[in-house]
Amino acid sequence: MGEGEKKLIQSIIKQFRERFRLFFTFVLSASSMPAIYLLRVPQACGLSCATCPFGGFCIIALPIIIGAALFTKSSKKVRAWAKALTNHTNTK
Amino acid sequence: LSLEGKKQTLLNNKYRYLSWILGFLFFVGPFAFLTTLVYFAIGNISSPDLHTICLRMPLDWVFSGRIYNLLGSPVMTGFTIIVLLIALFAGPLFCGWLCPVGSVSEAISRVLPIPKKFKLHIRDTNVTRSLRYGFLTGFILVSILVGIGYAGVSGICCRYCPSSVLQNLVNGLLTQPSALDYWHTGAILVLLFWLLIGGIFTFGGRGWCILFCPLGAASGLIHTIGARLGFYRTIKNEKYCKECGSCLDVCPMWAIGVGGSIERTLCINCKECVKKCPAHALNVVWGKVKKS
Repeated sequence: MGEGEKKLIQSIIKQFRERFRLFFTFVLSASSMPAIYLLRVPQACGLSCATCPFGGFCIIALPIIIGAALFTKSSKKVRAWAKALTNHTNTK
Repeated sequence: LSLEGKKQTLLNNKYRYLSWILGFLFFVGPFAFLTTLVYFAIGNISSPDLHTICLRMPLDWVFSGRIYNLLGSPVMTGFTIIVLLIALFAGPLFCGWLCPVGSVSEAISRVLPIPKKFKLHIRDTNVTRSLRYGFLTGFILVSILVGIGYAGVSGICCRYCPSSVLQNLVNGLLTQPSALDYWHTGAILVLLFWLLIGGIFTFGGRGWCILFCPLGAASGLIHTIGARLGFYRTIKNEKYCKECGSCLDVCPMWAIGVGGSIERTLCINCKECVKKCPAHALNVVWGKVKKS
């Protein structure tokens, strides 16, 4: 296989990966809407988390998840680790 | 930004920031001057507020097949059609210049001195677009499921409503304290996502508008069509661009990519980038542009 063919295949794979990434993002966000609809069923729950099937999961877990995302963003160590992980994946 | 830089931004975009106040007074109760005027014109004696004139509900009704609701609420339907028509001819001006939900979160984000490193910012416009239209697709999907009876009876809009959260905040501050009864878990979560995460901890303060607002997403799509037809839009002149990235740093909608390209579906024609560009490479135009 020539160098040009190799580059062409690599660029096709790269393009496919990029499109798949965007499609996955799209599907993930689309599927979160029904989840929001279900999570918000007890519309007038009035902080009665003990009576909810989720048992207060949403109000505790969501800030923790977002807090973790913000921490990941601000921490150089975590970002470097994530970058190294991506680079490793790219070379394989 | 330094204090001088902030002052300059304030002066450059003074009309936009003034129109936010106007939008607040137009739609949010107890003021709601515009909606009260419309109600008065059609002989309705009740006092409207931001929540009673929901601009997202008509979209939900369209997809859930509740056309009778569209006809039964002519004010809401009319306002939504006007917003979408403005988006076609002049871009999503309602989003950028009048919407109280977006303007309150953006204003708070601009005023609070949170370091940039603590703010979420997706620089890849393709990812932002995928997320935005993914959420819109999910919104439409749930509306259809509600319409055909596979889900509950209430629309998806009412399950996450920043308009009612803002209205109840204002009610609690200005009118009846009984509005505090409203603060159940769902409302607190919406407040968290709209004002705290989407506003304060998001670059530009419009995280909610970018990701979750169905009217904003629909306006973005319509604006894209309008821009292709040659209506009012923001364009970049490659010839003048110095690639300094200053437009990237001021766009509240993350509509400018790393390469400097404008993502039309995200742009709200707020003109922040136009005013900031030192090389005057960005402009708002109408009609066909001759390529030089």
